[in-house]
Amino acid sequence: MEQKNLLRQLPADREEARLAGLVVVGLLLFIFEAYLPRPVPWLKFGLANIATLVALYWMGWRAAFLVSLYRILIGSFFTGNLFTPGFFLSLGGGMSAVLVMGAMYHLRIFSLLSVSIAGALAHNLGQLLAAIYLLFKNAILWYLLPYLLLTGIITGVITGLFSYYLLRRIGEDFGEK
Amino acid sequence: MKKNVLALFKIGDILFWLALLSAAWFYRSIIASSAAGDNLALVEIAGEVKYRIDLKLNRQYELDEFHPPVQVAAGGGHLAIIRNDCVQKICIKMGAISRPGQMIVCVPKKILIYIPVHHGTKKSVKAITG
Repeated sequence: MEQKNLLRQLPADREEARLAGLVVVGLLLFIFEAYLPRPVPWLKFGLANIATLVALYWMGWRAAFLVSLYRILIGSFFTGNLFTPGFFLSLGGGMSAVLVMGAMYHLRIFSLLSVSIAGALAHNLGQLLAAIYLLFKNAILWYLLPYLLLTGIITGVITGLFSYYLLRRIGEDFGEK
Repeated sequence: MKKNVLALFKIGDILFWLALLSAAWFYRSIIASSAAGDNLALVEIAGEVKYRIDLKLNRQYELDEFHPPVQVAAGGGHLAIIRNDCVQKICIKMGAISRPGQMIVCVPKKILIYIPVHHGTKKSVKAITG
């Protein structure tokens, strides 16, 4: 609700304002999620990805990349995680998600829901690769992949549906149909 | 934003789900080929094996590389982290591990505790220190 009102208040002709608004939305969701109870310890909903998805469909690949990058940098700074192992996992996951979602979006043959799920899966896979090759250097971590794929599908559906309804409202509010 | 951009189903979705199912099936076949491991767990800190814990012995261990030390409890074929001063304590919430391939990960402290898996032949264990 809050993010919808925030987006509506932004001037439609200001790309920078939209971008900044989406970064703030991503940060708020990132912080909000930190306080949400987790059904299982390793399951994160990845709600901040909603801002990245909206940026991708509303403003394009470059904006999605910037929203994700700024959100990770600023979020890590304020949570005291900048340049810690957790930061590099977030960065690996975030950038992988943007790359995969951007590529799928430009192909135009995948629905928003599939793009969202693929983004969540890429996020988890990116984090896993960063953990294996940068942090722990141990292939045993590949055994986490099934759990990460399962959670990726669940979180991808959740963020995809939120983004879908948000983008429909944006289309109505800004006359971009 | 054109309406069809936000369609909830497109033809490429079939390809996407087929690719996903194929990947899951392929991965399952790899996992299924894993043989049982020994009744021990390895504790790696920052990529180096520091401890080798016998899961049959009922004991508590302190990883004194950290202050305060991280506490690990083993016994009955299970192992769990029971005390860690990190913020989120995900490693404690992950509970106990007991099967080959299972692991407990603490990202902030770069702790990886796992039960090794052997694919046919047994792998040699790295040098143990500490």
